[in-house]
Amino acid sequence: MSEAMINALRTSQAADGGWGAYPGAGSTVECTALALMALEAGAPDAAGETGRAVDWLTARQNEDGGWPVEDGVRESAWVTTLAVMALARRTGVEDRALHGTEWILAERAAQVSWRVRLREFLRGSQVVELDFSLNGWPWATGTFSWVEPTVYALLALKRAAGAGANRRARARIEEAQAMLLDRTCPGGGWNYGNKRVLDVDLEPYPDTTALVLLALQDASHGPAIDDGFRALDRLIDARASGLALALGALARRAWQHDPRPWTARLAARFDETAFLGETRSIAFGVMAVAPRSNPFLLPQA
Amino acid sequence: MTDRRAFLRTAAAVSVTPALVRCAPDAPSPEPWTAAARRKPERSAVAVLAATAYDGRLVDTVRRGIDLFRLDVRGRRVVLKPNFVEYDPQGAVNTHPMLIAATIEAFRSLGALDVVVAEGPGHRRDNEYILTASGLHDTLRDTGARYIDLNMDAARAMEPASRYTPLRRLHIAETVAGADLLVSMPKMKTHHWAGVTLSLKNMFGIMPGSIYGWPKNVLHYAGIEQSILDINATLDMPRFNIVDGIIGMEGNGPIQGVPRRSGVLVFGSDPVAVDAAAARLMGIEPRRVWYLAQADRFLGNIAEDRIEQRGESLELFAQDYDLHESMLRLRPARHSASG
Repeated sequence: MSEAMINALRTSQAADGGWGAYPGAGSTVECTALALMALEAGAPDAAGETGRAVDWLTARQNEDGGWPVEDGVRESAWVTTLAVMALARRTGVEDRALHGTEWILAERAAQVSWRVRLREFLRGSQVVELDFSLNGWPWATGTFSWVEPTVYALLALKRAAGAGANRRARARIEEAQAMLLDRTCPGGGWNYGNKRVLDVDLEPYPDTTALVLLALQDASHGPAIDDGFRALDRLIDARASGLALALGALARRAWQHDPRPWTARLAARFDETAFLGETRSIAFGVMAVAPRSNPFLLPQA
Repeated sequence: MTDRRAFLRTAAAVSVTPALVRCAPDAPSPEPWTAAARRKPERSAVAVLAATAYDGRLVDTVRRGIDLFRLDVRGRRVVLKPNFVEYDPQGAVNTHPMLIAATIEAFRSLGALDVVVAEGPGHRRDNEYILTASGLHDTLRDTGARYIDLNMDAARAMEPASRYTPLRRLHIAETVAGADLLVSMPKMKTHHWAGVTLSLKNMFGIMPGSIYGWPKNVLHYAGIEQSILDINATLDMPRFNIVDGIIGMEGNGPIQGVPRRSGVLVFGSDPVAVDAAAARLMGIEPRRVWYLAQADRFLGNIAEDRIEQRGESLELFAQDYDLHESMLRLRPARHSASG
């Protein structure tokens, strides 16, 4: 089932060894890390491609341990999380992953800006209804915590540190998990990270809902998980994309729910749209259907 | 409980910081923009054309609007930048795909070498969802136009041409930075933080999310209105603007507002003048929108006596859009006087 998606990934690897957002686009850390993880899960005979991808990634690690988004941008950023996920537990680059893990632990989101606090104070109620004391990870250093970078940071820390996570890592993990639960949309599920703004409830998205369910797969089961899966069912039934189906199926695998209804639709959807050629969606698609595990599926306790 | 007066004193002190940054000793002039960024023309022109529906007649209307400005796009690479910050089935959030299709056809008929549609949605990363749900995917298929996800586009680092934010570099999507003509195609909407979101604010979508985030939080921390100014000051390619005001959005825009029919398209090369006209169409005094008032100092014109009105009379289409309670101060003086 995943052959077509795997072939799409293999044929879209750039000459430099990385992957871009779509065939022909410049290589980025996010797409290269995701394609690497996908091929390792779905194509055991792709050692040549994955080896070049590892080389591409390791050549771009900054001295501070983090990775920049792409060539031409210097600052280490959120994509460090995905590079760590791709490289952790890989023989020969353990020190790279460890250094990246240290960058992730050092990266903290900023407190909410003074403009927002002033606006809220003058208004007399919260403009954005969140617990601002809970810290996750930002997209860019010096800004606020959002759902997706927090999910990747959690998965990277859990994969890299595993059961041996030190006290500092465990504290960050616990706080970030609480942050994600605080960001749950009314009725269940998650969007980019705001649940209620200016007294209006915001809707969840399928892709970010599935990502949070992946991040919390080893956390204790609770109502937010059930509500999240109900929201995911509703959203995917209403309109499914390749990305939503792929991440939804991965989340189902992580929680030992049957992913087959969505993996079947995933294949049909790829036939129909080829996921617009987007590396990210195709990589998640491969990881959703490949029988081997991947870094988005944590070992069962 | 925080003492309100003490809090306001602290906030005021904090608010001085950006001003200090702007007045750094190496600043070329007391004004927060470079000489290159000063492109305010003596006079600007704006065209307002009636358009009652999203249908096949739009091709003629758009062509007529472009012809009023005698744009020469022969052999040029034209980048259309609509607004797809989010998808909303009510149709008031996004630039309508029918208008985009009509614009593609109009520019092609004028001899453009290539017309691409490019956007970096502010909230969602799922392009397949946004494009298929909104109908833009069908438009792209029917017209054969390419779509570029600016959130994942290569970035060109540029030094800001104005210093309203503390940002020392702006990363502009390469597709836009390399365009021969950039066409901003916003939806005509109110905005609960900035007052209005039109041609200028629409440029948030050219800043790659991979660098600025989803939402583009780096720009929020730098100041939404200040970022609007720095981004637009830094864009030095030829520009054109087409505002989709056939159905606009009032109230709690740019996403949770309510559709409002205005039946109008607004055209022009000066994005400041176009936005001023669109603001007036929504019953908003452009000089009360802080970033428009600042833009009037160096980027373009908002004064009515400096804007030549082409097409139809703006007054014919002007309505008072409902405003979020925090934006009622944007009403013209006649509203304030009557309470």
